[in-house]
Amino acid sequence: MPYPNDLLEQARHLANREPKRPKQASLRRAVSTAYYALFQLLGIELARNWKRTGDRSTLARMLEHGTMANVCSNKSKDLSKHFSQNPPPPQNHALTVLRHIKTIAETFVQMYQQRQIADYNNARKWGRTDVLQKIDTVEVAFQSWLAIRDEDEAQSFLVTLLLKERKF
Amino acid sequence: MPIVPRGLVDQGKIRAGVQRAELALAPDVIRIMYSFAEDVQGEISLFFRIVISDQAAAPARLRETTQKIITKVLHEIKADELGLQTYFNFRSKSEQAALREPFWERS
Repeated sequence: MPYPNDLLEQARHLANREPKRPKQASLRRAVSTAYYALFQLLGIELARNWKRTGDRSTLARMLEHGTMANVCSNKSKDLSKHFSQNPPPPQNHALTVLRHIKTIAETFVQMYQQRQIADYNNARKWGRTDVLQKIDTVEVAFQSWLAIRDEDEAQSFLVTLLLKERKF
Repeated sequence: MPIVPRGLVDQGKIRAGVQRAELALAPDVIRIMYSFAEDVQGEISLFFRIVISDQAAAPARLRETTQKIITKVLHEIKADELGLQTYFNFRSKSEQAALREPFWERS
């Protein structure tokens, strides 16, 4: 995934751009870029399933940030309940896949929140430690996606990212 | 700060859990603070601000230490049972010394 990986690399570059005193602009753009790296990764992977290659970018544009965050939040909560049930679910490959999905969903929720702050809240002061931690979590989410991208459960999760909440 | 209905969240348990986590995670963790607020999706959430030692914030250790801290805090406050969304922000001791934000100090 060249573009999402490039965005992630760019986020790290921005976070480390000023070795001594990082500028707030660099740190805030780093957080925002790390979020977009994950957003783009999921969008490109979703669109990859569309047979007509020329229409894939249009499909990816159907994704909405807030909708994705809601879906990911619900998924993360559902999986937390699943993991903490008694008796616990069997330790098998399916559980490993679900743990990776939880990592991705939870990271999206976290980064959506942080990106909103980074982009719009001028009162918030960022430190490099916090920003690098956020970038690390996105990198872990990338690794999780690579580990499960061919799994049916992972692909089903991708499609749900398009689902808007219905009131009926 | 939003008011969290007492019946929904046992704040005493959260406070005790955070204290346990802080003690267990020293000296990597210097202090853990938290507050309730609405997140961007309008849900009351728990926001943690965690000051860590400069050693724990070193790039080579950062991923491991922050993951360990998050896992421990979530375990101690029994986050799964709370049903609250949690968010974590970290700052090193020297960063806080430079930025000097009261919000990151224990009042």
